[in-house]
Amino acid sequence: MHLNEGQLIDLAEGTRPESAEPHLASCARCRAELSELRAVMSVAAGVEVPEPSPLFWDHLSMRVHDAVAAEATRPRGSAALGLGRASSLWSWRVLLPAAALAALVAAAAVSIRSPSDMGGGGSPAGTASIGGVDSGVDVARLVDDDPLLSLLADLAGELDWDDVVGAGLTTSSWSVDRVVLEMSADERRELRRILSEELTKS
Amino acid sequence: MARALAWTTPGATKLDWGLTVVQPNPAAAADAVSVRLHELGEPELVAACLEGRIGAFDLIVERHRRAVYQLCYRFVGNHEDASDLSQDVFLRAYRGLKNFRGQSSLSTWLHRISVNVCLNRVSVKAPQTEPIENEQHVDTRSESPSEHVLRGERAVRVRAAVARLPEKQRAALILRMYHDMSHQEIADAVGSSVGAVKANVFHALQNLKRLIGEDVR
Repeated sequence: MHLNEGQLIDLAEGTRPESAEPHLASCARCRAELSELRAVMSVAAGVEVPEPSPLFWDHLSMRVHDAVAAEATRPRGSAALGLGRASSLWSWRVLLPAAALAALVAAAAVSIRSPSDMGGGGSPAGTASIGGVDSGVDVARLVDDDPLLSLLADLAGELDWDDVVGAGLTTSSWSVDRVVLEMSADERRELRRILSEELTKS
Repeated sequence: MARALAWTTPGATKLDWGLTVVQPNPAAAADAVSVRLHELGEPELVAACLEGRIGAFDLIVERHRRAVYQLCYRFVGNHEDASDLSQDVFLRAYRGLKNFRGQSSLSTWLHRISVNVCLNRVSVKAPQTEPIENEQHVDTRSESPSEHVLRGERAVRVRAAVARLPEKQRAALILRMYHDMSHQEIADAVGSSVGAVKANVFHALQNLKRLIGEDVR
């Protein structure tokens, strides 16, 4: 009885020694078949896939990244994985401080530009009042004390969200992650120092 | 409260930033900064990905894109389809990552997805490879000796022949010969038995011999 397909493959691949198949020594047909299999394997094994352009790999990564980003931002229910939730959480970690900052700047801009309009039943002029709750923070003084916040307050009076997006002043969770990834050791140390400093204040 | 702010505009050459700290867990914040994704092993990278660190999946793609592309290329025999299929593979991997249990290596898992994506695509779209005798893909860097040219032409014929094999034979041969998967791993990947995989490899080699004929000596 001749060797079957599995036995011949095991012999051709070398996972089974020829000595384990006594039939082979006495059967010219099986020996020829095994020899042909090895020859085809030898030819096929040496064939590589043509190397694409060096630019292709980054292009492929970018295509995948964009597709994944689109997947993650799809409405809940159409996204097929829990990753969408994690990504949303990550987005919120970025968006929350941005929203808080925007609220501060907006409040500052309003109070600086028209403090007298804030009178009546509202908060005292120059004091932030958000959602009807008086924060007790003198925003005008805070902004006046910091030239950078002052500049932002001025800018906020001129810009709307579309302007901000159009000017490329927004960021995304991915770009933040990327920036961290690309930091040098010194930059990471500095970031860690500032983080620690800020955390001890809060 | 943040004391300084800076926005980076596109094209800026130097990063400058200030911080607003909202992280409720200082230890976690420090960890997030100190852990370099590139230093993570496979399981940690998958975990980081599931935690929502988008850069982690980018890194998975970077590490495995060549193997996935090559597998797809061998399946379809052309760059354009292989490129599209590779993207599909990674998108499907992203969707299914939460189901990855680490029972096999990530590369084996990705190979399994690749085979399924390729088989699905191939079943609705015939491979666009040219007939072997009309093959146009010649090595344009053919300023080399004639033997090198002949080897290049033979490689083209073999790749085209592989892409013309019946689906299951093609999958078994590619995974076994070019991606070093065991018969058992291939059987798991294609939903088959070890015996069937060996039979498919056997018939794939026989068909390959017939298709490339005179080159096998």
